[in-house]
This record gives sequence, C-alpha cells and structure tokens, in this order.
Amino acid sequence: MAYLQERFTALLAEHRGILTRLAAVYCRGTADRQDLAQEITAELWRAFPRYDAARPFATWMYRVGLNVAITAARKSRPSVVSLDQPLDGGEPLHERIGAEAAPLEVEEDERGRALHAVIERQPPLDRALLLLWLDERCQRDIAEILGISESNVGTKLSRLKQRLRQQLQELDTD
Amino acid sequence: MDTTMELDDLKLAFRTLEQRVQLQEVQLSRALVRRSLKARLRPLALGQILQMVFGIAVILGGVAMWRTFAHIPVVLVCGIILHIYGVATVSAAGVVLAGIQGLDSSLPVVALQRRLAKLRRAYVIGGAVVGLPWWVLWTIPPAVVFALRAEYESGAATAWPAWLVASIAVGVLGLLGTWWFHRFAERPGREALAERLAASATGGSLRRAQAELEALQAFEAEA
Repeated sequence: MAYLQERFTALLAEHRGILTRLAAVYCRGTADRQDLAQEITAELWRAFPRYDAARPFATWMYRVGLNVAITAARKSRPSVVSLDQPLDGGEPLHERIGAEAAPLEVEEDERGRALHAVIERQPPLDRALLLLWLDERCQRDIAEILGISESNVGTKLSRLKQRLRQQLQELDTD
Repeated sequence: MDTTMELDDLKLAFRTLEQRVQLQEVQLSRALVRRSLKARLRPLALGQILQMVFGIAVILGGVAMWRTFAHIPVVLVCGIILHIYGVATVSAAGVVLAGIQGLDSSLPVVALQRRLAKLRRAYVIGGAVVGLPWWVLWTIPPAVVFALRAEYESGAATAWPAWLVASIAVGVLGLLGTWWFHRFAERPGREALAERLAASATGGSLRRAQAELEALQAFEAEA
C-alpha cells in the first residue's frame, strides 16, 4: 500500500499540470477549482490499482479527470458548467449564469477574457476536446481519451477551430 | 476588443491561465476517497438493495397467495399481480445496480458518460415501474380481505362494496391517465408542458436522460 501510494504521488506530481488544466477549463473560482482538483485526485487514487503501467499515465489521467469534471458539471455549481446544459450545446452557459458566475480572482488581459468567453460557450464534451487541443495532444491521444475514432477527432477539431474563429470574431465585434 | 484574435492567441492565453492557477496540494485520506464516484453512488446502491429485498418479500407474498387460494379467483389474480410487481421491482433495482457496477472512471469519456446517462434513464424508468402501480396496488389488501370473508365467513356479503369498486376504477383510470399524460407531454410542440413536469415528475427526467444519450450518440457519430 505504501509503495502504491508513493508511486501514485510521484506520478501525480509529475503530471500535476493536467490537474491544473482541467480545473482551469471546467471551473472559474479558486474554491471550485480546488474542489474539482480534490474530486479528481480522489477518483484517480481509487482507480489507481487498476491502472495499467504499460499505458501512458497522462492519457489515463485525462480520462479519469475529464470524466470527473464532466460528471461534476451535472451538479448545480454556477461556476462549473451547469447540470442543465445539454451535452450537445444549446444556450451558452455565460448567458444563463450571468452575474452568478464566480468572480475572477486574477486580473485578466484581453486574451484571457477571450479564452474564458470561448471556453464557456462550449458544451461539456466539446470543452473536453477544446482542452485537449489547447494542451496540444495528438489526435491519437484525443481519440483514446474520448473514445471516438481518430478520423472523427480530425473532423471535430476542424469544426471546433472554425467555431472558435467565428466566436473570436463575434467577441471582436462586441 | 480592437483586433481579431487568432487561435494561437488562445493557446498563449491558456498557457498564461495555467501559470496563474494555483492549486493546493491534495492530501490522500479516507475523507478524500469518500468523494470518489462509486463512493458517492453508494447510497443509491443501498437504496436499490433495499428495493430488491422489498421486491423479494412482495414475490413471496404473491406466490403464497396464488398457491394457497388458487380456488378463489380474486385472490388468485391479486397474487399473480403481486408476483409480477415483485419481479418488476427486483428487476428494476437489478438493472440500476448492474449499471452502478459497470461504472469505471478510467473508461473513455464518451463510454462512461453513456453509461451514466443509461444509468440515469434506468433509474427514472425503475422509479416509474415501482411507483406508478401503487395507483391500483393499494386496493389489493381490501379486495383480498373481502374475497376471503366472502369465501369463509358464513353470512358475509358477497357483492363487492361500492367504495372498493370505485377505488379500483379510480386507480386504473389514474394509472392510465398518468401514462397518457406523459405520452401527451412528450409529443413535439408540447415542450413547455413537458418542462413544467420536469421539476418533479418522471417525464422530464426521462427526457433529459434520453437527450443526453442522443447528444452522446451525435458526438460519437462520424461526421
């Protein structure tokens, strides 16, 4: 058990960036981010005995982390993507939560504000795709994490980029 | 904003955000593990086990009735109804328990979310299977008592009391009415009515679970 814990802690420390990225994309306030990080760590630790060391830890960690983040999004936490937001899109989150959103705790520049705006416009599954693209994961990894074919990832990524460009233009005109 | 941003700017902003986000070290503990997905589903699993125990008790009661009083048609029919209800109750709980067992957070994202959506759908349908028949099930004890008295007590009334007949009729109509209303609300063009049902009734929850499954299928589908 002690060996398992030591190994887990070392791997988690090595891939801590994934935890940060997941919390950054799925939550806005510091408290919610910390909360999500705890839930993900709990799930990772519980699932760790079944982790196959022959496979990349990052892919496994992303799977578990995204599953927790998307499932947590079903709780009615205003600063996490909402329970009622359809998985296939629908009304943009930022329009519904409006003033309820957790206040930003750090000063943001124009790029940062645009990033948050486009993140919040993505439904949970597309948000996962966006995160993996932002983290520059290859199509094969993305396919393995999400459980869809590589060709489907390619199509979805090109649509996502097209949508992002459009959304950035909309933000520009606003 | 003055200039249109490019996708590369988003990546730069993401790197900046990543550097700004400060997370405290999470310590491994029993309390932490209680926050895992399976641990949080434990109360639901316990509820399903209790439902199974209840269903088995109903089956035993139903079987005892139809075996012992097979010569009294009312009791025979009531026993068979209870037997069927018990089997449905146990099956509904079994499906949800199997769904919980099949959850593994290291599955690919689409696969786990699909399992969760199916679990939610099974739970909602199971709730309807267990709950709705009570429109008529509550009339079984008085009907059985009446039939047994008519059979074994000399001088007991043999004609069904009006209140019992009325209760059974209301129960059957209520059951059929509930079923029809849900079907009615689910038809296209009645989204507003269905949404009003959503807060408390099965119809809206089922619609949401179904919509999730459809969204997942759409996400999975090759474009």
